[in-house]
Amino acid sequence: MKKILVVDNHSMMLKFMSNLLEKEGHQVLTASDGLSALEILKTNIPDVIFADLIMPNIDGKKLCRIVRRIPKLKDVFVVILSAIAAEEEPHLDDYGADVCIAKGPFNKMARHVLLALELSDAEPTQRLKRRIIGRQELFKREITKELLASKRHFEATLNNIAEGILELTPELKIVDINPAALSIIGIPEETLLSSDFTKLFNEKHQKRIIDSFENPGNKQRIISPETPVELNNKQITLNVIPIKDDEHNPILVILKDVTQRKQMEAQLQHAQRMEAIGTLAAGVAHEINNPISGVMGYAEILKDRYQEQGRNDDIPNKIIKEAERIAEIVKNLLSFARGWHEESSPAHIKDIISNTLSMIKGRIAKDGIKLSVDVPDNLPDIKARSHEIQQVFLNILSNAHYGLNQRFPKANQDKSLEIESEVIKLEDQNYVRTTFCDCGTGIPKNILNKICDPFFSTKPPGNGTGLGLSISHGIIYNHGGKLLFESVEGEYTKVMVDLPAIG
Amino acid sequence: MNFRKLSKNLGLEEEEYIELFELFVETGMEDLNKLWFAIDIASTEKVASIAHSLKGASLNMGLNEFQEIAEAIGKTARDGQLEKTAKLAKILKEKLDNVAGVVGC
Repeated sequence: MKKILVVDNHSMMLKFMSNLLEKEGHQVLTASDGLSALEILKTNIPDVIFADLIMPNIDGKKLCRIVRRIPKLKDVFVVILSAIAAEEEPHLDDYGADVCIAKGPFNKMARHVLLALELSDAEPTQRLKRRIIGRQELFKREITKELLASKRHFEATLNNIAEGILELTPELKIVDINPAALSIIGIPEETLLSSDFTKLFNEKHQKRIIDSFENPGNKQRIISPETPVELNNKQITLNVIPIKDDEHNPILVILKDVTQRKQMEAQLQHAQRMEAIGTLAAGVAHEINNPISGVMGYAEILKDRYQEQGRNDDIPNKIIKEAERIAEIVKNLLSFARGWHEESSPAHIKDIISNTLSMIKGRIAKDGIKLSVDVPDNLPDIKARSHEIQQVFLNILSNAHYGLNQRFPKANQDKSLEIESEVIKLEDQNYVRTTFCDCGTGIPKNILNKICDPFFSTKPPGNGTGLGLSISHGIIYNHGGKLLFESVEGEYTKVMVDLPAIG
Repeated sequence: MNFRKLSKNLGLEEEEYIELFELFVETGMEDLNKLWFAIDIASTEKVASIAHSLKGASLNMGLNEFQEIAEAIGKTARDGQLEKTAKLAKILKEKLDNVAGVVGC
């Protein structure tokens, strides 16, 4: 006695198969579509499955493919019951089916079904001899041919479209999914089919997803790019389209990955914010410059008068020194705001790195930091104002030096700093990327997008103005480049400086 | 309907044939309702698909007359002659109603 699962959406066919197989002494389970079949297969391992090819809610082709991917079902003998076998030879290997029976008059079908059962007991080599049974006994049917052509066009479109498309039952179970959706979701098809769509999302977004399906009526529901939901670490928009079918009422869901778009919007917003801060800073700096000149001038006069009076008082010098500090900050602010307007000239990144290191190498060696530099000679030149790029590199190296000393106050084998340069291609333009990687304290995730803001600093008062990276950002931006950060708190910080290459 | 002859042709017991026939009529009625809807919205693809299902079931049961009408329904729909399709659907409906009376559906 065999345990046999028959899957067909026609009740008459299910009855015929059940009668035939039970008369032969087999145990028969039935399902009216692929989705119900998968439910049965969760708790049953049949010896043979007979499956119709065209069915709602997961068709026979998809059901076979899933069955073959489930380890416990890999040895099940799968028979396709097909009306289209008369039109064209089904590609059984694509489906993972063992045999195909062409549907026809019941007397012939009965013979073929029993023959298929005999084959299920035969050695695999014997099975291969008769894989499509009953085809020669059927005549060509033009309607089916057209249905097949239309299905193929539809499948080709679905398989090549950039948007992810899923079909759900009214109970929100996934019954069809195209390759783009599989790639967005990142879960294998056999796991996704028949699973609950809403469970793909974390709790935070689940309520919004469920809301978008509630009482959809005939209306489309949209989760727009302004407030996307998160799925597989991607920002996703959803378009929920209920299909008013005469019986199944499926729901189509169109997924669109807008992660890149959101990142670009965030970058643009950041750039606009920086520009606004720059304009404000330039205005403030200009307004401060004049009174500071006045303060320094009056302090000089005071100093002269004290000398004339023979007073040995240090206060005027202290005023001058503090005013000079203010002037230095103002100068930095202005350079962040507008950059220098001198001409760029071709430069080699290796020279700039070498000049920068000559200024800081001594301090790095003194603190026991292992430095490794890998800058090939054959990199293309960049068009740059070298002293500005040097200023950026010095700033990055000073930060790395500070971070390393914070994490490892004494010598340590992990106290290392690496500098590498390479050529990369971004949107058809070659860039020279210089990466500074230190194993210092790292940057907490929640402040990573603030570190280029003017006056933002994590250093204690007196150890930094909070202008270094904002000035660096302005300089690299004015060079047509990019300043990028990657960091894991407590592990490492990677700063990447991308500058456009010449030629 | 000569059930004895039809069941003999398919190698089935008469009782079993009648049982399957009842399901054929039941599903056929449902298919016809879907067919009217598809004709109303002029969905030739849907009409062809339903006609295909009706034709397949008729072939299973050895009902050649039903099979021929279902085939003609699909063909006229593909040719865009939906008026003819509707007439054929009406004929099929009448035939189904007649046999439904025979088996008491």
